[in-house]
Amino acid sequence: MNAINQKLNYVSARDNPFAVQRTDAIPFDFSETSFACIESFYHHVQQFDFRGAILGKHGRGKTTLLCDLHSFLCQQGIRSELVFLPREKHLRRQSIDNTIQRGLSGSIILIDGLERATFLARQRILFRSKRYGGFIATTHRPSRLRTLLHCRTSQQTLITTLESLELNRPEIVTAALPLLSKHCGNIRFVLRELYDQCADGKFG
Amino acid sequence: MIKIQLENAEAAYRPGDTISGSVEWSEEEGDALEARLIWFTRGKGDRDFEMVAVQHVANYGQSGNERFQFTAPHRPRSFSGKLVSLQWAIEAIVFPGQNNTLKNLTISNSGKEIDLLPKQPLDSKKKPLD
Repeated sequence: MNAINQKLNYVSARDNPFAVQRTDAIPFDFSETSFACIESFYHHVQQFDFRGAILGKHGRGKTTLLCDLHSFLCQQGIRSELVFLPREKHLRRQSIDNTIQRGLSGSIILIDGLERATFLARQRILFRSKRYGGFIATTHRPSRLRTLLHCRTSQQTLITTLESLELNRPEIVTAALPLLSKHCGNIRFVLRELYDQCADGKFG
Repeated sequence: MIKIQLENAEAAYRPGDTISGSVEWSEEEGDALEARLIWFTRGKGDRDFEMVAVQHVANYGQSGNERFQFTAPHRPRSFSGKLVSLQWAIEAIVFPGQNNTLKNLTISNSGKEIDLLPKQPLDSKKKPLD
């Protein structure tokens, strides 16, 4: 009977507190960096004429940081374009062409997932980037671009993330911390697994 | 402040129904305002979004109100499951600041969201092993 009750306690996607619309809204956690907040990171980036790379493995917060930087630039009235390079090959070429055009018009180009571009496409983007208003890309590996920040995660990053979601209850933190090593530091995968556990009614 | 009021207080519609109401705003800096009929997904993984219809406010000032009217489309229907939920809404958005507000609604044949959550444990139909 207990097993049945437990199974019936499903949580719908609409009500799941780990749903992506909530997790995507969490700002970047600077605790593993030498910057206090997005403003100090902005000043760092400004020193290098808005040119460089944000490095990190999957699920380390590169995209989150890029989105936060884009919002900050918009607030400062600085023209910038945020580009998510499509995973689909047939869409990527058009996206790259559009990106180059927008860059040449003076915008700062913030590009997520530069590694998705082919070697030749990357060279084309980087070659033209000298004439952009600025060029910041997220990548997994170091490239010709100066590294602006290397994103890393820790247990503290995960706890801060749960706090941002107002889900830092002891039973959730206890379930979450071992998942961080299971997923080799990938916070996105941890949150997805917590989503599944919550959907199955694990957290009541 | 932007406020959306639906004429149907239950915010439940069948395909083909008229979705009407008004949007009221005050002290909103901007150049233009749009009322939109949209759907979006919530849940795990990538989000999906579609703007199905849009109505521009003709004479936008800092304060005012405007009526809107849309026809409820036949698909997709509102549903909620474990992995993904589909939510319809009216969105009022001011440009260029993009300050917005949403009013959720349901579109389905029954007027209720289609519930895809399992009603019984998957293993309850299994016969016990001897």
